[in-house]
Amino acid sequence: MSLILDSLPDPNVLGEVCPRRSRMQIDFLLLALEALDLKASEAMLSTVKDLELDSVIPGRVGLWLVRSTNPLRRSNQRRPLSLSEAKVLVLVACHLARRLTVLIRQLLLGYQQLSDKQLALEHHFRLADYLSRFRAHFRARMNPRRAGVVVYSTDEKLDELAIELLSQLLLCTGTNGPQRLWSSLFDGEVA
Amino acid sequence: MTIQRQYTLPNCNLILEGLSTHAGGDFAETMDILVSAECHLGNSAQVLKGDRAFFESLIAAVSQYSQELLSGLPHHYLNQLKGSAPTVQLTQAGGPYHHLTMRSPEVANGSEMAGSSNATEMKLTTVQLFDLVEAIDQFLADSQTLPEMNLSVESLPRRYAKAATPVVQRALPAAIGASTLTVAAAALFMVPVPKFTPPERPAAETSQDVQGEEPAPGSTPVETAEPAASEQPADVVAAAAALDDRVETSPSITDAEQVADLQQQLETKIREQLSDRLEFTEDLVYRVAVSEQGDLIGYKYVNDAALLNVDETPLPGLTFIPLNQELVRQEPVAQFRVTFTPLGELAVEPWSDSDRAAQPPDSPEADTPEADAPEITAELPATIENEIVTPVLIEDLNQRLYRALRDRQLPELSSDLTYRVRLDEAGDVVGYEALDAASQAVLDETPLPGLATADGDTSAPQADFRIAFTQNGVLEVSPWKGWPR
Repeated sequence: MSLILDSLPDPNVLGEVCPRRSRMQIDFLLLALEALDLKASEAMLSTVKDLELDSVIPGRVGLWLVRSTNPLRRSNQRRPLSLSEAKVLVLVACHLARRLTVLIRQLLLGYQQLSDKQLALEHHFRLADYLSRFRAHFRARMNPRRAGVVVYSTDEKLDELAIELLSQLLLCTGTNGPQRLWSSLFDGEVA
Repeated sequence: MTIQRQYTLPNCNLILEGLSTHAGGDFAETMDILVSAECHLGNSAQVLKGDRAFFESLIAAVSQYSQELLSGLPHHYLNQLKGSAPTVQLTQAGGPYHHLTMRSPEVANGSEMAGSSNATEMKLTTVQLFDLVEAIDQFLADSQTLPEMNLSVESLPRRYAKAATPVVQRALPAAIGASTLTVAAAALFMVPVPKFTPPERPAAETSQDVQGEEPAPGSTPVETAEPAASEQPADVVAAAAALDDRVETSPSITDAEQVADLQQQLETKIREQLSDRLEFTEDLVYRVAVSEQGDLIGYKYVNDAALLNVDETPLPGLTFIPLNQELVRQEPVAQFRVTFTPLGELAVEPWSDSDRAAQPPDSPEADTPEADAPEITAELPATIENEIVTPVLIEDLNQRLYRALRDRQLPELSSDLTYRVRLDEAGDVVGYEALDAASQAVLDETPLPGLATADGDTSAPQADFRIAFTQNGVLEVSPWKGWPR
């Protein structure tokens, strides 16, 4: 396997597959990236290629299949997400997040200022844009009958999730971002 | 020689001062010993400052907390595990803020914070926090500064994550499940238990069985015969009953050669099964019916001794009990008189009506079967003196009969019913008869008796029709001799 994948240690999880929460978390992060950048889905594919990881996730369909392991998706595949596939997704997410560092910092700063003044988030044009796009993506792709999705039935709840994902993406941009994200994916899952 | 390393980010300035134990070139000196660490965060005047212990605690707290942010699962259980409260702690402060607490006397107060000398609290924004994380990451990645310190991130073990979920949340699924069960149980309590109804036997069969088993009222030996009969296995009674039906309803085989052949077969069969020890004192006489194939399909006791000792004879074992009573009823039979003597002799001879006359008058079956067995009404002479042959008239009559029957209410049918109906030229019903026992049994419930109006003037032109009521409720009417060409 590629050297870059070895930078992420194999966690001690059951069956060498990703637990439910990690599958959701990583897909949500990628969803947030798509809301930040309209071209993110194309960028994901080219990043996989640039990192020479397309043997693990071959092409657009492969990427879609891997992301569809998120149990909340409408197109949930009921297939497991292998550790190496998850590693690729983590690396791709961190890579894209790093390219968007400036935007992410701006949005978080804007969010902080608005919440200091107790203003609605719509006042920050770029942030409102991100939030509405995230809501649209989320509602289009998640299965509304799932209990995990029903929790996010209101705009406020979805906005909260989007902001939370934004701060998580910021942490991903760091030098050790991939390692920290990877380790967090298995919180509460290792023996 | 003192070495200073500085990691600068927009909101965080991390300054490390230390010494190098290796005297190397000035270009690539490695810091091995940390003397002091300073951390300036954002615009705050506060400076976090301390020795190596403080710095290690800061790194641990930052790593733990950033992972907490990424996974949403609190990591402070790990600290409780270690026992001592850490010097630096980070907690959520709501919204975009995070709380940093430093428990140490060595806080370098800017100026006015003299009152709280033993604890420093700072409010960090997410971006400031990230800069702190990144400063630490850059330090950790720097192999020239304290190379023995490496990134140590580890996932939270399962046993600590469980405690992170509140008890209420964990108990909720179980509570919902239990209440659902309760509601379902309460709802289902109202639903009545379904009743079991045994499948109904065809009416014709039932009535005939009863008739076969019951001796005629007034016949004397009922008292003596009945207890014995009740001791017999059920199939014996059934076989006797079956014979009643067959003997009375089935045509008999008249071909002398065939009868002789069957007689031979029957005798051989019985002899094969006959045991040597026969424990009875009187002759046993049976009336036995045999089908065309030589199957023994029924027998009947001619004297009392025969009834009491039936188990000594091979007859019960030889009797062929058909699955479909309706079918065999139409089968031709030959009847024989079979006599077992106490000496072990066997006599098989064709049954003749003179035997019946010679029967003891007190025999239970002597006069009953003929009286009780259902007889197909033979109201109609088999042939018609003056038969209608005009095709048009036959078709017309057929049509009229069909119309007359079509709208009549029929009883619930358990089998198909077939009848022969005779009409005169005017379309009035002259007579009718059932074609089988089942049809005969429910004859009175059909519309036929109500239709018979004309008197049976046999010299008038008449025609026969066959009508059938099927189980599905379909009525079929057709000319007896087929449709005219």
